[in-house]
Amino acid sequence: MTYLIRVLTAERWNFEYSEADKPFKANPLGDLRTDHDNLSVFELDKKKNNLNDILLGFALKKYSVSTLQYVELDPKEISKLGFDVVNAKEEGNTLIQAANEAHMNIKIRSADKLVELAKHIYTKTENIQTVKRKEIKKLIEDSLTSGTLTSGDLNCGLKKVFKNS
Amino acid sequence: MEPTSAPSSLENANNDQKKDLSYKKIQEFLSGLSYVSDEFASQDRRLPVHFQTSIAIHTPQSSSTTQPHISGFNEFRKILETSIIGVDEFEEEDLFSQRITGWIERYEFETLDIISEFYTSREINDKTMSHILMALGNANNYKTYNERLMTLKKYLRSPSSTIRYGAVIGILNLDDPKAIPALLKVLKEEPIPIIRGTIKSVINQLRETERK
Repeated sequence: MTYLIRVLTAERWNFEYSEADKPFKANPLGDLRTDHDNLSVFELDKKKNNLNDILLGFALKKYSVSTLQYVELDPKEISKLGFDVVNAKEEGNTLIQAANEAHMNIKIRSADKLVELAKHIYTKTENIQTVKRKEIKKLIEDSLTSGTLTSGDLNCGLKKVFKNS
Repeated sequence: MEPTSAPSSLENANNDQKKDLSYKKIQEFLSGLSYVSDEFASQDRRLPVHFQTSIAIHTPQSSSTTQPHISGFNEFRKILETSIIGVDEFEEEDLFSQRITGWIERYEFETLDIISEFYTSREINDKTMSHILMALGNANNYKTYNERLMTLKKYLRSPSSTIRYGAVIGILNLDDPKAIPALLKVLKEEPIPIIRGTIKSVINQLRETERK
């Protein structure tokens, strides 16, 4: 089974929600920034072979190394909710080509639909995946050692962290 | 030796619109704080009990007769509070963690006492405390290991979900399977999906560590 993955900031989803008496907060929308009404996600292949590439792509966008959390969304469930999911390899803007190949867009037709998706994601945070800080660090170090990346590829923050690698 | 740059960094940071600080400014600010900390440490490496001793810090404007005093206690609080302000969630953990782990490695139990005291007296807010807990798992200090593990386990039961989250990530950073039973206990009671999810994910990771 394939999954669509999206990185989340736990702080934004850290609240109790119930349709009856606990309103859905606005904070999660900060994690769901759209561009041209598209929400960017990455497709994890069936055997999760491309997971490290996607994680590396995420990690290289940050200015320091920290714990990373992402949610796995079932594309069939997303479709059932009325969202179109389309390939968007050309819009993948990570430094890792293999990650960009997995880039997809969820079409968001309205703000209401974005809130609907946020509520769906909220239910999936129960199965959020957490990647240790030291694993993220190792991913970057290994890529530098193998020559997949050079220090020139790193942003100024990461250059400081990996100045001796 | 007179520190000349640190007070001006502090003053600048206080005057800035902190929330708008760019990454570069944050870096400059933090290095300024680091300078204060180092100077503070060099004046009394034994660390005064609970940082109650006042440490003289010269400002560029101060003369030998009018030295402003910043207590170590207040200075540490400033570090805790201002290190968080203005730093994006994606960037704060590593920078803040380095600062806290540095203090733990240098001052060991005293740092833990102070953190606990600060939090109990509400000198630091939940968000700052949460990031401190995350950092507790990253310190490379054997002597304080059990104390740090106990502290993290204790805060798993905090009424604040922000604190509970910090404690779970702190345990992940510590990477000690001994914490699994405590995590399993709180998992049953946790009402917030993302924290339940994080606890489950951390338990899985610790089980993997156990298998290795």
